[in-house]
Amino acid sequence: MRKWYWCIIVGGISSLLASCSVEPPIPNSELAIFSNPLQAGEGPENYFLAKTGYSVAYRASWRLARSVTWTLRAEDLGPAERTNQFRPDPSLPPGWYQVRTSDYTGSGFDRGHLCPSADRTASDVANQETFFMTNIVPQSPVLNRGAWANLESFARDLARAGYVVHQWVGVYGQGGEGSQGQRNQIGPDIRVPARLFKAIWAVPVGGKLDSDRVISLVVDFPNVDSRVAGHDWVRYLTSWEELDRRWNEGNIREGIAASVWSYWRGDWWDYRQSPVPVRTPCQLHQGRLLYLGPDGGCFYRGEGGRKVYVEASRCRCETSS
Amino acid sequence: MDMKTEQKLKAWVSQLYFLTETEANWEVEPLRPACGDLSCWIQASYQKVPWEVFWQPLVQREDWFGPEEIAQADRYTQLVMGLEELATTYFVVRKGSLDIVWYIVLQCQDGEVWGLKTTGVET
Repeated sequence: MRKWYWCIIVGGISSLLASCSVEPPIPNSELAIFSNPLQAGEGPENYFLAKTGYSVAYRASWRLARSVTWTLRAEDLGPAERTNQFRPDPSLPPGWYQVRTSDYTGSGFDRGHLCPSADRTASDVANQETFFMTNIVPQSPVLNRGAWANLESFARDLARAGYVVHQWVGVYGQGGEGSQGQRNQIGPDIRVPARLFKAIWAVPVGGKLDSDRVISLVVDFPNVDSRVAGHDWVRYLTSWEELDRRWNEGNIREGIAASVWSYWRGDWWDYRQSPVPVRTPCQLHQGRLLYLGPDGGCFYRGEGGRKVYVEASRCRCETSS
Repeated sequence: MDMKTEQKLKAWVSQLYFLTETEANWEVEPLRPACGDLSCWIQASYQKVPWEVFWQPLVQREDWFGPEEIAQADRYTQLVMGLEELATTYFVVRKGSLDIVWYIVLQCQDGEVWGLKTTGVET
């Protein structure tokens, strides 16, 4: 393991701990996992990149990040203006293809941020780094501008309300649908992921990590215009067990230390318990939350967590797209 | 309307991309504002963007640029020079917060007002 890698992790831990007024119950070595949940290193299929405001596990053969992690606090939200200067990431090793913004032009997919620009506005440098193409994936425009954007906004609301919001986003599978139809790749062999997930773990500033006030949720979206149209992010809430099955790489749990994993509860989070308003046009079904499964089925969780399917139209959220 | 001005503007923006999270072309529109001094383009729903701030990232060459990016930056440079020569009054406004519209508002020497319109996405 290179020395600089540990310096970055230790630096990240120091700043994380500095923001807490209580001694964290998780050992430092395990907090580091949040910076690198997939245990990326120097190999091309799981290459670790550390930025000022986020960390990346990059897969060279996909020309994409596998996942990105960052922590959002209220002080990360500042006056820096975004510039839309998408650019190749110079920190990739020599000889690796450097994805360009023009590789996406005409593809029908948005340049979708994993760590959003709006989460990094405390300084120009932090904001500009979110425009490295290693932080960008070909994303369904309907998803990027709708449910995904709404979820990003919800995370910022949590930060403004006094939460330290740890976020982990990732992509998996192959084949999405943009404004010009289904594609497996765009440009020079850039993979179009089939799905994007986001996990949020929000801790009240100064609060205990295992308290009831910790918010932990996981959301998993299809990267398909026609499937996400008319739905909002609350329909895509799921559980780690489900995501594990869908991801099918068998490494979500393996990549995370067991004691940290226990804090990532996140199963079927009930957004009605949210401490900040969840603005969504989605309706309940007979007082129950509805969810969309990986194949588009609409269900609620009945007795013992059993999935009870209802007409797909029940899951539509009329004013969201 | 002066067809020469319209043709000139169309030629300048032909095949010129405006890149955000998506990409868009530029459209040329004759504008007929209700007010004579163009102040109606600076209403509450429009946000004025400083001229240099808007153009700077489009005209500046970066180290990583290839031939395609260099060609676009050079064409943007020519566009800005052309607009500053063509118009007596010019400014940039934007409207929206996620799906955004930008207008380059130009008042020419003959008093006519033209707009260059493009769109973008900022999530």
